[in-house]
Amino acid sequence: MRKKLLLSFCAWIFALIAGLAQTTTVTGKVTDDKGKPIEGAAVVEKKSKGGTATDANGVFKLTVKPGAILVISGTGFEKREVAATEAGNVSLKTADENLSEVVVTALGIKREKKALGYAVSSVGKKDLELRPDGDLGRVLSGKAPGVNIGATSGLSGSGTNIVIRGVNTINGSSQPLFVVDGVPFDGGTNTQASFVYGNQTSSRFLDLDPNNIESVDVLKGLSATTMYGELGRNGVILVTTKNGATSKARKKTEITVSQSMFTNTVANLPEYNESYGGGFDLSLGLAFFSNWGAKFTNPAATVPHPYDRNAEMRAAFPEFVGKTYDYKYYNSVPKFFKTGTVSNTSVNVAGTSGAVNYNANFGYLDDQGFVQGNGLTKNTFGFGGSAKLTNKVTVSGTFNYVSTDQKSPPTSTSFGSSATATSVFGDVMYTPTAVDLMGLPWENPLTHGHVYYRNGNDIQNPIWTTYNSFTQDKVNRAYGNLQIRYEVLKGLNLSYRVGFDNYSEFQMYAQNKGGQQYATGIYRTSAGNNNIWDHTALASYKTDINSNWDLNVDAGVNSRENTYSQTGTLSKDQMVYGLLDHTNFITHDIVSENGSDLDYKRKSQSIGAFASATFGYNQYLYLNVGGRNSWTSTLEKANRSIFYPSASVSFVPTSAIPALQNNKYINYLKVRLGYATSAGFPDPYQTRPVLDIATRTFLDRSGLPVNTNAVSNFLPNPDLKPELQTEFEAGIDGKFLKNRLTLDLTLYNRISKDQLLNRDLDPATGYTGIKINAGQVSNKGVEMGLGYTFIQNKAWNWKVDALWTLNRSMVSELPSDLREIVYAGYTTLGNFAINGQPLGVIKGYYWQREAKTGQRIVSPTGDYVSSQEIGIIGDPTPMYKLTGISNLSYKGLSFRMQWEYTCGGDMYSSTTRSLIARGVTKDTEFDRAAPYLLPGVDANGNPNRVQTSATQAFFNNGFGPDESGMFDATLIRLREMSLAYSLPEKLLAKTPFGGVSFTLSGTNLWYNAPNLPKYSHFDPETNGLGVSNGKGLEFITGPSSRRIGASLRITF
Amino acid sequence: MRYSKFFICLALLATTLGACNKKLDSLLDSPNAPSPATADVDLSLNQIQLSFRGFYGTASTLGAELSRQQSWFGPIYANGYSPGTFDGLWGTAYSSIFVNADQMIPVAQSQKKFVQSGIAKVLKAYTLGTLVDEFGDIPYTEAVQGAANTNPKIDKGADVYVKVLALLDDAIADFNKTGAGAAPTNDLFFGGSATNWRKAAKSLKLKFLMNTRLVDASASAKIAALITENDLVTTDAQDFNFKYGSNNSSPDSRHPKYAGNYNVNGQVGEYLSTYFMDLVVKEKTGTVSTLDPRRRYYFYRQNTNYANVNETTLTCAFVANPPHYPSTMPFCLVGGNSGYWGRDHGDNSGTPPDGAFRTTYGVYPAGGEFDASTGGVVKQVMGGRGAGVDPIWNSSFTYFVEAEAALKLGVTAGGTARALLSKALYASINKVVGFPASIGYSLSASQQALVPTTAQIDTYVNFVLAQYDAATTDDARLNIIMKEYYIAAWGNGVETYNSYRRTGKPDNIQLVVTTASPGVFLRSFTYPSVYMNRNLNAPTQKTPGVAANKVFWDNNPDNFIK
Repeated sequence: MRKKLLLSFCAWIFALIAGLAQTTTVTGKVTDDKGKPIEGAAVVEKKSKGGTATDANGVFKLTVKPGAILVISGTGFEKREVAATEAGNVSLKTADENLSEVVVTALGIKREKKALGYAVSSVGKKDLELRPDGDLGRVLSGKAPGVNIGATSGLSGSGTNIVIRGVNTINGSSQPLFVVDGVPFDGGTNTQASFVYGNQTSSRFLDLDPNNIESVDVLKGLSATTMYGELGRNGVILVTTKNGATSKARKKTEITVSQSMFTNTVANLPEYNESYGGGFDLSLGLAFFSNWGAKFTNPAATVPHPYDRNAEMRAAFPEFVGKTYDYKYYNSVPKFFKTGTVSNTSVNVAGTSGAVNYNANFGYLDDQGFVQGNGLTKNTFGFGGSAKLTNKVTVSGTFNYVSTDQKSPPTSTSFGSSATATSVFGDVMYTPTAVDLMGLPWENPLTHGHVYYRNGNDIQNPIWTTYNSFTQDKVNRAYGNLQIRYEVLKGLNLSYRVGFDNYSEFQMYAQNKGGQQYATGIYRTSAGNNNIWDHTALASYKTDINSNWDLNVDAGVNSRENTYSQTGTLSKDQMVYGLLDHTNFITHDIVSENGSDLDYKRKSQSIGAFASATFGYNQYLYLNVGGRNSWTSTLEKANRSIFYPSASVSFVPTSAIPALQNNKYINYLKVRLGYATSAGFPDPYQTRPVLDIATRTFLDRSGLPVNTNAVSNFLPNPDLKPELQTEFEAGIDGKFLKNRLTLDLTLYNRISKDQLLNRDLDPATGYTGIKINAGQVSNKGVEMGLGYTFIQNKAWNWKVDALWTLNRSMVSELPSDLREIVYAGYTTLGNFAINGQPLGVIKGYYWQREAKTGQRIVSPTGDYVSSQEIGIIGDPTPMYKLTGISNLSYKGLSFRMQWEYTCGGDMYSSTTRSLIARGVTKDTEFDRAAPYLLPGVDANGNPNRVQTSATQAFFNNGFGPDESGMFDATLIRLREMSLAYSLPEKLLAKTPFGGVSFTLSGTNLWYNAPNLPKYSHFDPETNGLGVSNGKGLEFITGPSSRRIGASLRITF
Repeated sequence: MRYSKFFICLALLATTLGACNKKLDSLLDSPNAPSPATADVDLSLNQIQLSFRGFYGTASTLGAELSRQQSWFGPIYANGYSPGTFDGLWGTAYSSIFVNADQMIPVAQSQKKFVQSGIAKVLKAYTLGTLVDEFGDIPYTEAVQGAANTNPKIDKGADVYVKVLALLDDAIADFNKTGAGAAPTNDLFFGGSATNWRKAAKSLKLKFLMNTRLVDASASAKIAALITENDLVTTDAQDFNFKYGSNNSSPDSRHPKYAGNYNVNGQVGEYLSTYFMDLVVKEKTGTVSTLDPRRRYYFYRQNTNYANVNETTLTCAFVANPPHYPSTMPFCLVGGNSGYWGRDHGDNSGTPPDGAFRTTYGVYPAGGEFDASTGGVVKQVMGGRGAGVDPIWNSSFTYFVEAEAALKLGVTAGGTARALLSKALYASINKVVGFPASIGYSLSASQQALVPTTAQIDTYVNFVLAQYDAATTDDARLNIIMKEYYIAAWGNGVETYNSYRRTGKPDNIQLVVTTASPGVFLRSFTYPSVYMNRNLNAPTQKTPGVAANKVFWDNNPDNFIK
């Protein structure tokens, strides 16, 4: 449609130039087939090319020669020619949308969809606005086939993984490129410590405000993204903000105000067993981690009060001295979670003034989490405009400012026996049922230290954690662009665009003294600054070669410079409780808690020259060829340059074959075929050796510092070259049965070879890793969108869409001297790349089984025997994913539901494993007095005869080898549901309001993972690895969130 | 005109791109780290020393667990350790100690920094020999070659031992070189004394030669020659000890056993072995006694009685002795109302809430608290504040090994076995008793009152010597020597694990508690997972608990020890 607008615009310009030889004035009105006036329709005299455009009432006035023929066209309408004398009242027919739909492709170039030889999924603002989540990534979940979106946890502001068409690179990033208003936008994740320490760090696309987005186009395949070069290899999320969409003319100044309020609660908690309490072997063991203790009685048995346990506690809590404590069910965990509120305010102003279109907006999000201490606030301001300076020069630009502040208690990994470092959930989920978590004091009134039920006080009280320990991420970000477009001559446009994206990110990790982990307190701050300068010069040429052929050429150069630098300090040993300031800490360091450097700089630059040409034949056959050459600063000169070509064909049989025109059943059909290549460059500084240095590694007895230097364990590789990717894709787009049935089907096969691998070396080589080019990952997949409109009449409309995604990956060609690559998780429990296996299979320790029968082997102590080697224990990739979206509307009322189904996929769930091994859920609420005999065989293959207790059977084997934590993660979920009502325009006619709508909506309203232990209610859609290529591993990362609320939107 | 404009643009672009190449070159070097050419010998030596203490610490803990000084969870030998347990040991040895030593030694030689190169050789030799002691055959000749050989093949343990002894000889030669360059900036063992380093190197030769006595007939003569040379570690000041500081964070420079057990008030992290505590405080007299002068230095009791024992804190106190335990075998409690709180060998039951009750490391060698029978939970700042030592080779060890040589090989260059045993006992006890003062921990008056007198020390030595005299067979005599060595080697699980495999002593060692059939004792460790998973030339993984997997110097029968 935009193309037509452009055409009419040009026509209008020419009309002005040629408007000298007039003799008569024609006045007319242009309306649609329902009689509504059409604004902005072009009215051009055929011969002289003189013309004008209609006003808001559809009225035009044009001076023409007598007997002139007028060509009248409007966006979305079929062109019509009428004699000037008959132009008093012209009605235009609505154009066939199938043929005129325009989408945004790479570099912001708009193309008719029918001309594209590849798949583009578009998500409009309707599906993005007024959502309960302020994270664009999560809002996109399920809305585009082939796009996989995963959450780290339900904590507000936690990281979101986006992977398009599968992970193509083993060690590189698989996150797509964000392009906002034509300029690359850093969506990276600046993690300060590994996932082990609680990596919920959000990606920086969190800084986008979904309410300020006009549209999102997802470019999935390489054919679509070649022009972006290596940055676009993982797909491109093309975001057009309302500020960046100012080329659209507006009727009048329009102000939109919306306000949403949601509740944020934990989606589902385990169902706890109410019969047994803490302990082992049915003892009254209140002070245990585990819940294998005595059966509850009525009246409750009593035990000495857990806070009456030593002199220190008695001094702090004299009220409990000599008191007893009821050993009974306290329903602690559900009470630990609160209801957070999410408030989202958005104001948008759009308007036109002469030759200037502008848009301004403001957004405020206050998202409070479901645990104390977790929240996200975000302020966004933005302004965009475009102005036509002369007839040939257009200037446009946007400027946005965001301030994001995310805070959360730490969530380090936990294997079900306290966490590696502080974790708010690490010990909460399996709290023994007789522990009154919310009723017991959590702070020592004398010291401010944490107190809890264990006599060693060795579980950090989670309530204390929420008040004394947190991670925080504050970002101030400014981004925008400026573009000048010059129309050299008809059909040839030159444009230059400079984009910048600069943010400073201030991250904190803090815990007051008095905890279990970091008992003396810890305080880490880091300040990072990321800066992108992106310059693009683009020439676009468009011409009709002859009456059959037309040609579009785009060529340009691009330079992108990315600089990141940060400094940081880690302090330990707090002096005065409560004050978080480095001066209040005794020792200081410049490495984070996992030993990684807090002080570093990184700068890289890439340059590209690209060209693309599309030949169109009679509006039904299109051939596109293109290519880009990129140069990077991260590789040595010999390997720095790479060229990647692309080609695609699109054919529209419904336009080409007369028999298919005006066909009853087939309304529109397009087949497409694409081939493209791309590359991946490594991160900087991996080709040249360095010396590892460290100061103050040790203080000797006399207090002298010991400094060190060491051979770096990571071997550099000067011969590194880019990763190479090639992709074929083929697809069909079609509309059938009077446009009721829509189909959008894509098949793809992407091969990534010369993978840039972090090869782990046997330390016996003297080194632990080296970067190499080797191995191949292929991803084959199917993306299908199928929609059917069941009901379509004046009042009712019901449409159901099904989005189906299937991806199969395979690793091959790893060199023969390399067994495997572990690229995510732990080295003995992680995601592996192994020849002949899907990428990401999980290896870990497994149960030893008898070769013949597959029965597990039981040791003489009555427990299953673990393997000595790690082996494949699961494949986290699901069989397929299916989203079903139903849209039902009746006049102004609409009801939307989005269901998602994930079939299969294995998962290591530390949460589930711990719940079962510790005996806290209803799953283990059985008669525990009976002896247990684990089914299996002894070392000689005879049936196991060693008796054991329920405690031992579940505890020892529930916490057995990693295989004991593997579950099938099949999942069905009601992702979104909303009910919206828009007041009829008639009602509003006499009010200042242009539109009023009211929406009730919710996300994650229900889910069920049928193959997990019934009462664990675990949500497999959590990722313990944070934003990474890893998947299917969870280390008590936190439950997911459910949000329900209402929104009101008023337009003036 | 239309086209000329276009070409002008293209020409401009081409020029710009050319200029860019230069800029891209300037971004190749990391601004975050210096170039390898700036490496400094002394700073490399520091890296090697600190990595070495890490290696030793891990090896010692594993050995102490298997030889029942510390608790071993077990519960059976097939399942006691996963191969991943040994990754750190392997990685520290090769990719931290060897790679840096190999880089640094030639540079040090060229700069005439012979003390530095000698130290690097000693530490490399100890590490290499210990790898053989723990794993058997290991990569050596093809190892530490980086990208040139990513799958180094394995060498026979015996062949590697030859290299170990040669490295020690090289080191001794370095220490003897005159006109050596400046002393190391930091020597965390001997403060830069080349003489002491030479004695340490020779003592390590003794240690490794002793290991080979069962399989190498020539060992006896070599040992005799070494002893005759009379240049071994024989005094407290010559002890080859890594000396820790007391800084508790940034950097934590405390003894790891202190840092792990005194870091949080009332939360001891590890269990000591019930057997070991029983051996020191009860075994000799049959009741809990004060006979061994070292017990207040070795162990610190948070509770000096068993008042906190109940069914949830120490379940084993409420069950009968395992049927497969002989009646004299220590089980669960040490006895009386003594408060010694540990764990039995192979007890893998869940951890009860007993962090404030467990007995933990005392002042020797971890730099903890002196046990003045007062009780009280551990605190972060206590006793020697962590300024302990790693007793890698003490003078008492020299005497014990000489005693073993006298008894088993007839090498009496250092004296009779009995005389050497006596020397060893005095060396051990005197070191321990003098230890608090040596680390700047001044005992309080009430603690001072409990420091053993010379008479008490004599009583102990005489008690052991009387036992020795009463013994009727060499095996019984060896048992006494090795048992005392075992006690004296507290803090050194490397030696206890070695001598247990070599001699099978002490002979009344505690059996695995969970089952009468725990499988074959681990005569070596399984190969680390980093080796098995990343090296295609790695041999087939051992089957722990089933096959004996003995190292080359261990020709004792498969069921020799349990």
